[in-house]
Amino acid sequence: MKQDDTSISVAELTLYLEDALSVTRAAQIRQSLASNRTLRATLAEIEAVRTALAVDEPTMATVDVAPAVLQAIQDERQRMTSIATTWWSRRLVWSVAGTSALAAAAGLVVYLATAPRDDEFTARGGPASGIDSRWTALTAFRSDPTGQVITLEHKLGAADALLFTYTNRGREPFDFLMVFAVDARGEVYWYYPAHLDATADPGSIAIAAGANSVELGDAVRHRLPAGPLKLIGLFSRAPFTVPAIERMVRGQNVRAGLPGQLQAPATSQHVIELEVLP
Amino acid sequence: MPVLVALPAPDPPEAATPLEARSDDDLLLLTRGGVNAAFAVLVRRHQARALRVACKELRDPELAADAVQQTFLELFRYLPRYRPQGKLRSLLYRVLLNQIGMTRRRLRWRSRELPLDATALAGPQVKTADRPDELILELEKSREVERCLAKLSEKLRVVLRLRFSADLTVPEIAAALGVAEGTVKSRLAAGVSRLRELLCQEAT
Repeated sequence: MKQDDTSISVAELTLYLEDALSVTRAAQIRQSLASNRTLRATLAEIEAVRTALAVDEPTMATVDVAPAVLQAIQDERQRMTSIATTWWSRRLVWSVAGTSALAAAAGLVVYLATAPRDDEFTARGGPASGIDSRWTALTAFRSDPTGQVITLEHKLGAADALLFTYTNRGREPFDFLMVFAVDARGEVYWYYPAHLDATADPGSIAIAAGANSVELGDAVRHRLPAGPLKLIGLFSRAPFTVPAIERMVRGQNVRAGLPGQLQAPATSQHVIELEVLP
Repeated sequence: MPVLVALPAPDPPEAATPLEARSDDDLLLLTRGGVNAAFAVLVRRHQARALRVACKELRDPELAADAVQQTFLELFRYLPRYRPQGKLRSLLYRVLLNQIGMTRRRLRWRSRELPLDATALAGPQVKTADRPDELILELEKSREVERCLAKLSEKLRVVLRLRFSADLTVPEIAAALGVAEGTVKSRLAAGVSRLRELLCQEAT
């Protein structure tokens, strides 16, 4: 062993193997290793220890936790759907009770203020959510049959696939998102959740909070009829199911070509009115 | 129901990429979008190393499988808050170490202390008679190293475990443990050094 080889510790050899030393020191160690058998033996021991730590117990070789994890996720999603239904029912009850009380109070104020001058009273409906939607955004892009991806403005081709990005910030960001379109007949076309199996009872997708724009994974293409189309991005705090939204669309007569959005409490909605070209 | 013609669409090009070829972040975003198959690919990509770490730390294949399964479930629950910055492995092992710790505490609470003393660290019993000699020797060496590793402090042991059993990089370990990269390097060096001393003592 050379004079300076004695200063090379096991710790330093470990860092040498990790490529965590300065270039100069690594070169010195490399030089020492070339000429010093003892040092090479120590290095080999360290490598053997590293290898030993990576050896698998034979009993674990065939273990696959993926099916159990997926089953648990499926159960969890079903539980979320049932929670969403319960949540929606409760919100509806509270909403009806709260709205009735507020309407009575507002009616009294309006009546007292206007009764001396005019007996006619007209109630005005407001947006369902009542939530500031400045903190959320949904941007749509269309991919035409030639593969060109461009920001969606007012028109799209019947065969165009759509892609989306969203932002979800603010002090109380939302947890879930749905993106769907409604045509002039009230037919609903789903983009997120993007699902192929109607019996799977899919629900809102979970989304991240943050100031950055997040891209949703896939482009989705439908056979869209020519004519008006209303594209809706629905941010919510609790997940909705596809059947629940379709029932709401039918019940509230939400259609492309007609003004308005979905009357869903505690949501932020982004509506883009479009024209589908044949 | 509307007819979904293509998912994903043939264009842009990345839409055609098979799940197995996608990054961890891509798979998580797809899962967030409701594609369960993406999460299955993610689980299968990372489970072998996670199981290795859990099995070596818990000394029980069933407990290890439970801890890993629970880890992936926690990861799924974390999806809405996950930021795709290529740091999944750090997050995964942070969660796994928590699960391992919880399993240990649960067992202690049930007065079923885990066999962390050196005499009980033989690992799961396996039939070795029909295995090639080389494999048996490799396994014996591994168990000898594990016995000595159990004598190290937890701080040193965890760093060695994440570096060599989970194959995490130094920055990934630093992120998983919430310490500086320099701390990881010094623990790594000290851990290997101490482990070698213990192995030498055992040999004599």
